[in-house]
Amino acid sequence: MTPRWAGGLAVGALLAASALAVATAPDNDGVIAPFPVYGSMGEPVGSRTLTATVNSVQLTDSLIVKYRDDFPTIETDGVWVVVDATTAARLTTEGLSNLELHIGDVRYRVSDVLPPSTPLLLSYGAGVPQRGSFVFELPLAALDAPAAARASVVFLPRLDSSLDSVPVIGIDLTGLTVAPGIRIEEVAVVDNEG
Amino acid sequence: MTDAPTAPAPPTQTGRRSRAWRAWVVVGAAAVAAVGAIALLGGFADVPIEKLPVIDIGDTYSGNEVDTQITGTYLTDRKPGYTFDADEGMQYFVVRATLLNTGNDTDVLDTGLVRILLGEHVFPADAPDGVVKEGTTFSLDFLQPGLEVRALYFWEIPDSVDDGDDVVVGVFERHLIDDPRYGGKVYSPGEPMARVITTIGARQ
Repeated sequence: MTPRWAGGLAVGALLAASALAVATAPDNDGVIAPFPVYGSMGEPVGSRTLTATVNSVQLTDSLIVKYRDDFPTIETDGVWVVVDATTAARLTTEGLSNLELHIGDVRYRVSDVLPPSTPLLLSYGAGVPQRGSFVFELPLAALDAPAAARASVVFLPRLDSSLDSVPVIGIDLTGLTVAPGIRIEEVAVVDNEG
Repeated sequence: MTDAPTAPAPPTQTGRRSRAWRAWVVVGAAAVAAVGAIALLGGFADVPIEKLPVIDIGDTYSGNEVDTQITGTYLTDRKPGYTFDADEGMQYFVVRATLLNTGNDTDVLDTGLVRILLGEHVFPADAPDGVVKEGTTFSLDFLQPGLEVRALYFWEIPDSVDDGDDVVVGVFERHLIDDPRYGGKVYSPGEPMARVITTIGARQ
């Protein structure tokens, strides 16, 4: 016959297991969070809807729009992070105006200050790679954060990318010189994705 | 022979007074209960504008998402951030503000942060006609974390408004609230949190 304490022990173990399951379960946001597909600078990273390659990263205090002579130089009180990237849609046209730059827990949205044509819209449809500059405006202090060495560009194709895969490409923002003005090229269709 | 039914006795003066008194007690108790219930449910939570804290030009209001500093107001014929003038008989009223997103995420509250009460011309419900970064032609679409921004909020108003006229500048913020319609938390509409009582043309 099973001793009475064994039943109590079993109930206690079940309760403890339940508490552990509840404590470690993801929250509502975590359950539907996008699936990151990690990669490094220079390598193509593919998600369900997008392929992205970060070719280079530069810092500057002002953006000079090379393809629009009449457009004013775009200054900042912080710093511009200029990410040269090649992107291609895999299914249909995509908007990339929700791209983010993550430094630790801090998330910066891609700026829309550049005049058309910019890489924020993959307008040619699936399989046509475009190369262009994504620019992020940051406070200078952000570059001093320890996490700046392990920053990442998150290629969110839409505001709500729940339960979808998303390219996340690691970049190092430390040790870069803040250039006095960078000339920004117009987005261009290129032959390959990386 | 049966007795005829007795007619009810006419109410006396004392009986009428007693019933009226009881009716007023019931009505009063119901009113108190209704007021209490509404208050408990937050029905009286809105703060009248005269109860909002007053800050001065140049003071910083530290909101739950953004630190806001109203640094001045002025009138201009030229649309801020643009190269053309206001329509005939109109001008622009501009609020200069310094904004700092203190959170970890890009904030899109920019246009909801500042509203004005300008006589009978502009009310706090009226969104600005635009918000631009000062000294640029770029509209302010969002606030990056930790990046201080000098912004110009502007409204087109009649040119009968002059320097020295009274204006109230309100600083707003929003809060995350539970909304079962969306199955979670959403941001409330902007709520006034502080006000600057000033005159047009005042500056820090």
